[in-house]
Amino acid sequence: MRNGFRIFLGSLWLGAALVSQAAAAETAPHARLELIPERKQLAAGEFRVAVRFQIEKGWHLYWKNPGDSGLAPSFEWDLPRGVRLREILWPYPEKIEDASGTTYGYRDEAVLIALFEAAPKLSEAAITVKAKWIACEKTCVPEKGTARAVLSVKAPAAPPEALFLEAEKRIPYRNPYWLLSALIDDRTLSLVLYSPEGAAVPPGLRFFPEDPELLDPGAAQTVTGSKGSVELAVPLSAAAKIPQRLKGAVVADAAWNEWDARRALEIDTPLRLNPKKGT
Amino acid sequence: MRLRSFFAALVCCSLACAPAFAAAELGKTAPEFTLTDPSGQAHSLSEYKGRTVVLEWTNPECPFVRKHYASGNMQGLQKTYTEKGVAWLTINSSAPGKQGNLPAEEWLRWIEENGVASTAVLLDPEGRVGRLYGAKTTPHLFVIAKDGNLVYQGAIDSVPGTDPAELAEAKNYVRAALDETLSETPVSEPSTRSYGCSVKY
Repeated sequence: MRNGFRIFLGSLWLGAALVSQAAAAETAPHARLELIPERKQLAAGEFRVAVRFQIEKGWHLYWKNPGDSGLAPSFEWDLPRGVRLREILWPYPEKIEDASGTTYGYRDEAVLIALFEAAPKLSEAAITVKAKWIACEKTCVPEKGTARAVLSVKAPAAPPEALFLEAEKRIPYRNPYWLLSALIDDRTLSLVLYSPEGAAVPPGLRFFPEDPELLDPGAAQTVTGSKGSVELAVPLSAAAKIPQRLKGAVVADAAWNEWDARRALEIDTPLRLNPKKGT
Repeated sequence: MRLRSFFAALVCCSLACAPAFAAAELGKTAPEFTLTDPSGQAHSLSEYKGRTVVLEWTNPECPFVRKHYASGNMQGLQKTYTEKGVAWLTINSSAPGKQGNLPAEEWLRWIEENGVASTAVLLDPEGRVGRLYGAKTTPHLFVIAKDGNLVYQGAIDSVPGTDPAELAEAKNYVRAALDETLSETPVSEPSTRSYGCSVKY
């Protein structure tokens, strides 16, 4: 009897779990996924599609390096023959801190830009993405979504989606005027930026590394120098395995050049070791 | 990070406990602590002196933790290594009112329903031990060798995520660290980046 009761309770519990799972699938996720092509008219060569997450107030999603906790969104693309995904450009994140540590993520909205290449003579391209992500507020919820976009040669010519102008401002870019050097000296990363013709260094510099193990996201970053060159120094994390190249973004509170409003430089540079001290 | 958790520990220490102690550091003696289990019984790290000890930070409501319990992966590790004499301490540092801070009877139910095979499940609602060890995520694992030194800190495995399908391709760092330390060889990967939910301090 006792056992029977237990089994009954167990199946009730299982039933409740199944029902709550079904309910969870029906409730709106905390982020909404959309694919928005820059132009609906398809032409051979490169084209761009925005992957937009609209995030519920108070919640956040993560950058490709999530920091101390969390997880980056992942994508599974279903592409027609003749279409190739070249690269996904991620907007730079913001630091999100809580009692447990520092993470890199997005609030309100994140617009990634996916670069594709279309083969010549393609008349239509239907692109589907299945994405999985973790949305966090005080708690974290794994979510998923599917979005679709169709480009066609028959679509009327139209100006590009205005969304891209804003989205581009948050994508780290290669700035040929600022020279870079990255060095590890005594378990400290030193990233030096040399400004073109002594131009002023924009304020508020911070570095976001792509390698999740290289730095502690909460570690203090020291910025010294202001005109001509600037050094950003950060101690390596205890778990750091030193990579061949330093990748990530340096973000400022203002633009790097007068003629360009973008605030984040893409960093992709060989990482040298101080030969005298080693590491 | 180490400094920060040290200061956090200091602050907590001045409030909550008398003896001064330093934060956990790889290669050094793992700091002593005492916590109670859901039945109210106290457990101290020093009780397991001379044995290999695993500290596993958990939160039953965190999806990253659920991956390892719903699949039986965590319980499998607990069973395998406690049978080899390892003391496995599962610790929850969720503050009152935060996710994963469960009443005692729910802890007991969680242990029973999931077949949790740890030596003890310990509650750290003040977050004192979590901060002392610098636990950042759930799960976050630490291995203490027989000599009392901390020999591993980091992730349970190499594939961050919440999908049990990921387990097949993952390299289990804790298994590797335990196998090495149990056979008296140095741990080849002593520190990895833990992944999961933030600890709800």
